[in-house]
Formats: sequence, C-alpha cells, structure tokens
Amino acid sequence: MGSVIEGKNIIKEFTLADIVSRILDQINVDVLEGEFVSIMGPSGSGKSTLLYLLGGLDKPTSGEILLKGKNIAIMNDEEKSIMRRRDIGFVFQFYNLIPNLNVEENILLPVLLDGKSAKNFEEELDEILHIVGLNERRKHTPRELSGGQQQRVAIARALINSPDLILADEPIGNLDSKTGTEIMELFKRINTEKKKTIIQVTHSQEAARYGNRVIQLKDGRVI
Amino acid sequence: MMQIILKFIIKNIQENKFRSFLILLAIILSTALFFASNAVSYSFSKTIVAQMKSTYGETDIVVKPNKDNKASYISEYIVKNHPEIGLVMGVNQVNGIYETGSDEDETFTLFATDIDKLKKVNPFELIEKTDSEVFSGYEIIISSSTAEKYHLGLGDKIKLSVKNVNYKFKITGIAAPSMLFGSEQQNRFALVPKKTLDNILNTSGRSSQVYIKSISGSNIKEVIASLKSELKRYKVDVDEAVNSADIESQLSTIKIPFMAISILVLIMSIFIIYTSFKVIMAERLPIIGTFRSIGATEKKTRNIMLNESLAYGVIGGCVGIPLGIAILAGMLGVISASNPRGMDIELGIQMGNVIYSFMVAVGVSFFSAYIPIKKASKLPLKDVIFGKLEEDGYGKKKKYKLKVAILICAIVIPYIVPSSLVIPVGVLSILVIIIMLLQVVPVLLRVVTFMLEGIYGSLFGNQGVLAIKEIKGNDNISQNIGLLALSISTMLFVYILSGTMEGLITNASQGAKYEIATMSMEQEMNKSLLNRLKTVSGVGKVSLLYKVVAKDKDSGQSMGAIIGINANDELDFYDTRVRDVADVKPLLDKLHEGRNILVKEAVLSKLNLKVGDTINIELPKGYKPYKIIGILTSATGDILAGYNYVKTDFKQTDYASIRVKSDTPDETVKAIKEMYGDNRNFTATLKETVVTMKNMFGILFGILKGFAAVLLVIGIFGIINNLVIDFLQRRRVIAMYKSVGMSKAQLTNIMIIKAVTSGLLGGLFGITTTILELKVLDKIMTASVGIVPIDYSIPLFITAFVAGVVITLIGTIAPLMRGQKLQIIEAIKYE
Repeated sequence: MGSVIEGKNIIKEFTLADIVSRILDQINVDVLEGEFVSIMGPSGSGKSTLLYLLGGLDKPTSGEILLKGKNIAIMNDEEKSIMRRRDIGFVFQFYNLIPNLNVEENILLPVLLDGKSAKNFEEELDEILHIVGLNERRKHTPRELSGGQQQRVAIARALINSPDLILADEPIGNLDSKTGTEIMELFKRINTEKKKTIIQVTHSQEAARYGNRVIQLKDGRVI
Repeated sequence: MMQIILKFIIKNIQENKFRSFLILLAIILSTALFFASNAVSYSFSKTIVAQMKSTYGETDIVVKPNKDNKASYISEYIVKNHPEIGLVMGVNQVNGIYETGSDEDETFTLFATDIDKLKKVNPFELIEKTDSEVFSGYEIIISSSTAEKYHLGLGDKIKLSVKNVNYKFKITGIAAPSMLFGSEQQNRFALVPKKTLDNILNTSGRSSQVYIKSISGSNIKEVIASLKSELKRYKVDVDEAVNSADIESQLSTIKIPFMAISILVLIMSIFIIYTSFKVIMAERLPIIGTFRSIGATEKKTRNIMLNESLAYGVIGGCVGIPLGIAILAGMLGVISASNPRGMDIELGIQMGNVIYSFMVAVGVSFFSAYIPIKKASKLPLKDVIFGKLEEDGYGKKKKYKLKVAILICAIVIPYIVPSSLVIPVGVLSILVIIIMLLQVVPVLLRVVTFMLEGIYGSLFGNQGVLAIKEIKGNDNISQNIGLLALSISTMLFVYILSGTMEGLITNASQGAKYEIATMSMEQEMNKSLLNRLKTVSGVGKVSLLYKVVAKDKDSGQSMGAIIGINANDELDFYDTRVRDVADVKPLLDKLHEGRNILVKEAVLSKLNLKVGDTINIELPKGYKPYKIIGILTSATGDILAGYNYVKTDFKQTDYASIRVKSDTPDETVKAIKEMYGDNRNFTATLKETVVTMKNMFGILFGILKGFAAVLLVIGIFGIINNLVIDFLQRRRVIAMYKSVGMSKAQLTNIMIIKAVTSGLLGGLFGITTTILELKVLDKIMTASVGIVPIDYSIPLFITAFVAGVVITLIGTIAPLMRGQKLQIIEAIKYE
C-alpha cells in the first residue's frame, strides 16, 4: 500500500499580540492507502490545525505536505482548489452546508465547481444518497434536516467526486451519542467497502475505536 | 445593568460607523428635502405678500369695477361713511415708457392717489425734494435707485409715453427705495399727482381702484360682506387687499412635485432604517438574550433599542433642518438668478414647518425601527437567547399574495375610476406602486431567478447556476434591487417627464406661423376684445381659439383637449398637418360644415377608434355625435373642431386665446399690454414664451433632478451597506465554498455575475416601475391638461441598466477584495 498523504517536519506558528506560539512542532505523519487514522489529543494540542494543513486549508510555517507525492504547500490557489474538489473530501464538526442549496445541490457542489455536468453524476448521487440514507430528503434544505442528517449530507458531499482521502474534523462532536454511533458506522463502511482513506480528528475514544490507527498529539508533538 | 446595556449599544454604534452614518444620512437628507419642499411655496407667498403689502400699505380692502361693468373707472365716493372704515382713497396707475437711449426701453408704473392719504397709510421717505409744498401738475417722484441708474436729479425732466402720447414730467422728489418704491424688479415705480393722471387717462376724477383702510380691530371679512351688499348696484368687486392664505393655496401647485419626491426619499429612508434595524436586531439578539437571561426586563431592553432609534431621529432632525434651509436658500437662489428681472424670493421659515419636519425625522426613525424591535421583543426568551429571528414561511407567503394584489389594484384602479377622480387616485396609486414594488421584490426575484437559472447555466456554466442560487432568497440582494429600482425609477421619471415637457414646448412652437399669443385674465375674451386688438398698432391678422377638455360619453374616458379653430385662417397661423392628406384646407373646411373632428393618433388608439367612426362627446348638457374625419399629426391640441360647434355645444362665451401676427412682435406686445391697461393678461411673443417656458421647466426639473440625485445617493450608500452586510453574513458560506474547492477566480466570477445580475434586475424593476408610473401619469395628464405623448426614451432606459450595473459593481469591489483574502479556517472554525 502506498502513501496517500505524508507530512514531513511540519511546523506551524501563530503570532498573537507579538507573541509567537508554536502550535505544531516538527510533525511527521504518513497515512497509507485504506487507513482509517484518528488524531487525538487534549484541547490546544494542534489536532485540527494538523488536519487543516493536511487538507491544504492552511499553510505550514515550514515543512512539506505531500498528497500522492505532490507538495501541496507550494501549490497556487487554482491547483489547491482543484485538489480540494477532486482528491480530498472534508467533513466538519458543524457540517458546513450551504444553507440556500438543497441536499442534492450541496452534495453535487464539488462536481459543479469542477465544471462537470450534474447529469453525469446522477448514478453516483443515487448511490451515495442510498449509502447515507437520505434518498427521501434529497430536495430538502439543510435547515429542514436534523444534525445527524446534515452530517450525512456533508459525508455524501465528501464522497461525490470519489476522492482518495476523507478528512473529518470532530465529525460527531456536535451530535448525540446514538447519532454519533450511526455516523461512525457510516465512516467505517466507507472505509471498508469503498476503500477510502480517512483521517479524523476526535476527542472520543469511542470514535477512535472505529479507526485502525491513532496519532496522539500533545503540545504540538506526536507522542 | 441598564448602564451596561447602554454602554454596549453606544459601543455598537461606534463599531458600526458606516451603518450609523447611513441611517443618519437617510434621516438627515429626507428631513432636509421634506423641510425644503414644505417651505418653498411659503417662501414664494411670503415674498408676494411682502410685495403686495408694499403697494397697499395699511389699506386692507380693494374695490374695482367687475366684468359686468362697462366702465373702467369708479368714483371713490360710492364708498359711504361706514363705522368700520377709516380711510378711502382712489388709485389710478398706468404704464409709461421711458426711452433710455439704449436698446431696451424702461417701463414705469405711474401711480397716482391723494398724496396726503398715501402718507398716512403707506408712508415713504423723500431723500431729496424741491421746495414746492403742493404736488401737482406734471411733477413726478422717482426712487433713488431709478435716479442713480439713469443719472437723474431734482428738477430734471423725463419724457414718458403713456398710451402713445408723450408727457414731460419734472422730478420734484427722490424717494428712498422702500415700500412703494421698494420693488422695482419688473417696472420702475413713480408717483404722479392724481389729478394729472386723471386728465391723462380721462377718468373725470374717478379711479380704477379704490383702496380702503378699515378701523383697526374690525373684522375685515364682515366689512367686505357689508360693502359687497352696499355696492352691489355699482357692479364692483370687493376683495381683501392681501389674502395670504389664498396666495399660499394657489402656490401649493409648486409644492406638489417637490413634495412627491420628498415622500419618495422618506419611503427610501424608512426602507433603509427598517432593514438596518432588522440586521441590528439580528446581530444583537444573542447578546440581548444574554442580558435578559441575567435579569433585564424585555420592556427595558426594548426601550433602550427604541431610544437608540429616537437618538438617530433627533440628530437627523437637528442636522436635517438647517441643511433643508440651506437647500431652500440654494433653490431660491437658482430661481432668482435665472430670472434677473423677476422678484428676489425671500427665504420663508415657518416655526410650524420646523416642528413638523423635526417630528417627521423623529417619527420616521422611530417607527421604521419599531417593527423589527417589536418583532424581536415578541420572541420567547429561549429564542432570544439562541438568536432566532425568523418568520415562518407560511405567513410570508400570505403577505406576499396580499402585497401583489394591492400592487395590481394600484396599477388597474386609475383606469377604471371616473375621470373626476383620476388625479387624486392616480397620485395615490403612483405612491402605492412604489411602496408595493419594494415589498414584492423578493417574490419577483424568486420568479426571475427561476427563469434565469437555465439561461445562466448555458451562458456561464455551473458558476452561473451557483450565482443565481446565491441571489435567490437572499434578503440583502432583494433589498438592493429594491433600492436600485426606487432610485432608478425616480431618476427616470423626472428625466422622462422633463424631456417630454421640453419636447412638448419645442413641438408646439414648431408649426406656429404667428408671433404673439394673448389672453386676458379679467376681461371677456370676445369679439369686442378681438376688434379692439385689431386697432392696436403693429397687430396684423388675428385668429381666435376655443379650448375645452372633452370626455367620451360612452366609455367615460377623457379624450384630451378639443381646440375650436377657424378653418378660414387656420393655415395662416399654424402648419396643420393631417396623415396622408396633402391639401389640408378642404378637410379643415369640413370642420365648419358639421360636427367633424380631426383627432390625434394617441386619442384614437386610446379609445380604440378609427377614421370614419363617430364618437359621442359629453357636453355640459347631454352629448353630441362627432365624426372623425382624419388623423391630426401636427401639435395643436388633441382634437381639432370648428370653433362654431365648440362655442355652441360647450356653451363657450370666451376664447381661450388669441393668436396675433406681427412684423414687430416686441413692440406689438408692449402696445397690446397697454391696451389691456390694468387688466391682468398674458401677452407674449412666441419666442419669449418658448424661452420662458423652457426656463421655467428647466429650473423646476433642475431642482427635481437634484432631489432625485439625493435619493440616488442615499440609495447607493444603502446598496454599499447591504453588500458589505451580505458579505459579512456570508463569510462562513464563502469559506464553505472554498473548503470544497471553490477557487479565488471562481469566487470572483460568481460575485461579479451576482453584482451584474442584481444591477440589471434593479434596472429592470426600476424601468418597470417607471413605465407603470408613467402610464398612471398619462391618465392624470389626459384628464387635466390633455394628451401628452410621453417620450419613453430608450437611451435613458439603457443608461438605467448601465447605472444599475455600475453601482452594484462598485459596491462589490470591497466585498470582492475581502473575499479573496478570506481565511477559510478563521471563517469556519471561529464562528
């Protein structure tokens, strides 16, 4: 199995009121194809920051991030945007759905931004809606859905362009435990059945158990 | 606790400087325009009253021969001793021409009365005088400014031509330029002995007017009533010398167009304040909720919010009224400057208007903010804490249906009301159309975006579809489109009306082959006047016109103005043209042979008629059938008929006007004016009329365009504010788009497509509103002055579209730049 994403000597610093704080210090990670990795650690340990750096949503202060061998830190905006559309699927704690688009449109968003025709993705859409169990809700807007349903839409959106990597930031952090379990089982299915590599940030030991590896962070370092 | 909340609100105002500025700007400008519109007619009337007072002094009643009186003069002795009358003095005045030696002669108003009585009721100060104690013979008192201008001094003689006879007067007094001698903008004023002028005018001691001073404290209305009954047999009019209420009501027509635009500015301010407070409430709700959760009462928090709106109103009023005074001064300055020989209009400020405008400022601010504040305060505490400020969809839908229904009613009603009601109903429906259009923009937007989605998909691909989805249901964008539509429609309305009026004036004069038009406001416009006119030197051929406003008996619709002409000489006076007819004369002759009419195309299409049809025209009693014999393509009136039929059918005793041919128009106008003597008349050369009318409309529309520009400025600020709010509210959404792969270039494209589309839609809704308004205006004009073909200017409409797009594009620059720099993590993570 080859490496999907690799972080080498990642350093991330923030400057706040002239004080430089190092959030991530010399991090090295290597995630292989088909892995389901959980990044864990106490608040402020830098787990979400690491996830955003891996997804190209933020830039490291120094170090390299290689997505399928390509250094994303030196990509321009256009290249990064294409990468986010095609190679990565993001799932956030607060779902981050576009409120004025319905379920179908939200799911198809990466396809639409990629300039592809939604019509060519009808089959994929049906399949994904079936997987996330939202067939009946395809014309609803996010405000008409429960938190769990919204998170399913976010997962479906992450899957539509069939990316190699799914990044999830506290995906069940905002859900009740029953719904949380359902979502984690969904992730597990995606990992095993669709062979997608998943990296999740989580506080929950319970959620981490669905993965097959844990990266533990403390004070910006892997322990 | 209250101090904390108050501190929080003051901080909020300071933090959101642009929004606070916008609310204040809206209140200040609308108050200023409202004040200026109210004060403009008062300023005119104050000036006119002051001028009239300078003539009448302390006298308060005027008696003069009425229309039925064949004599032009009456004896002052007909006014018998009356317990409430203090003084009676006969007055004569006539114009005298002074040859200045330059191109333009000077006209003097020669005023004559008993000088001792005059000194009692209207004293004047003599700066220089001769030793002569008695004012008699060919003596004259002139003003110091006249003396200065023409280098005249005591003992000098001046030659004045009165009714074409020259008289030499010796200057025996030079008066200070005040009271009688104070208003010399139009004519120079001079005092001559009564007996002398009586001889010149051959009045046998009688007077053209008798001024009466009542004893102080008496009821003038009662004195007039008793004089009227006492003097009935002498065929005289008895009136109050200066009736300021009457003058003001006559001048109220000046106020109407200004008032209409001020109301639009007020509507826009209400809209801006209302929407701003909606956003303010949405922003502050969670924090207010926090305050309430720790013990602040709902009433107290609500009152603090209302006090904030009151503060805006008070500041707006305090700044807006002085600004209004400045605008008024500017307006009057422009009017005075453009008419140097006209009167200088004094600034008239009524305390009532100041208070009224201040109340409007406070009221507009308070009530526009009240609804969003009240709505928020009605929410349950739990919802307030969680910041829920949303209406349920069903209620909204129901309200839209009602609003659309009201809009349709406002468009249709002017077409179905009887023509007597068209003016008030029409004005009201124009206002309702504007208000309702603002209200239904969101629903119209939903329909339009639904239609545009497919088109944008094929034009701009998926980015076009996403842009349309961003526009759909976006409150900030629909508010922007509303603001644009209102600004654009007001500008277009004023510009189109201005262009139409100018075109009308130019067209009306184009086919004219006469030089002078004259009408008397006091004398009967009949054959004897026509005959007298023919004897005036310089007057060539003359032609009369009758004019009535007619209605179709069957449909009840107004048909515009019927002009009764004399076919025998019409072509000498006007280049009348009929469609597809080369020789018009035989057709014109037919107008006298029966009830035949030539009708303009606009009237025919409006009434759905064609040549050969017969129309029943409503008359003062009953109706008569008139046959349409041709389509009139030249500009005189909407319908031409033979004067004989107009005269008898419509029971017309007076002509509407008389057209005069003259080789020496300027001199002839002067001679005609002299013929009228004291009788009020309108006599002017055609050239002069066109210039005056163009000037008059130019000034009026210049100021109206200024008012509309103010509206546009407020609108632009409102739009920029909305675009910034839209960006701030959608920062998170933009970050979401970016997180799933929207590039900077795609974001830019979508924002530009949004801006251009909302600009175009603002233009489209603005143009639609303008057309709806103009259709109603067309009804109003047809019912009042006749059919005015409105010039729907295509270049102006295109400009409106371009302006809409440019405004929204400029407003999008700042959000666009901020969007480029937006950090996804900050916008998503730290919400």
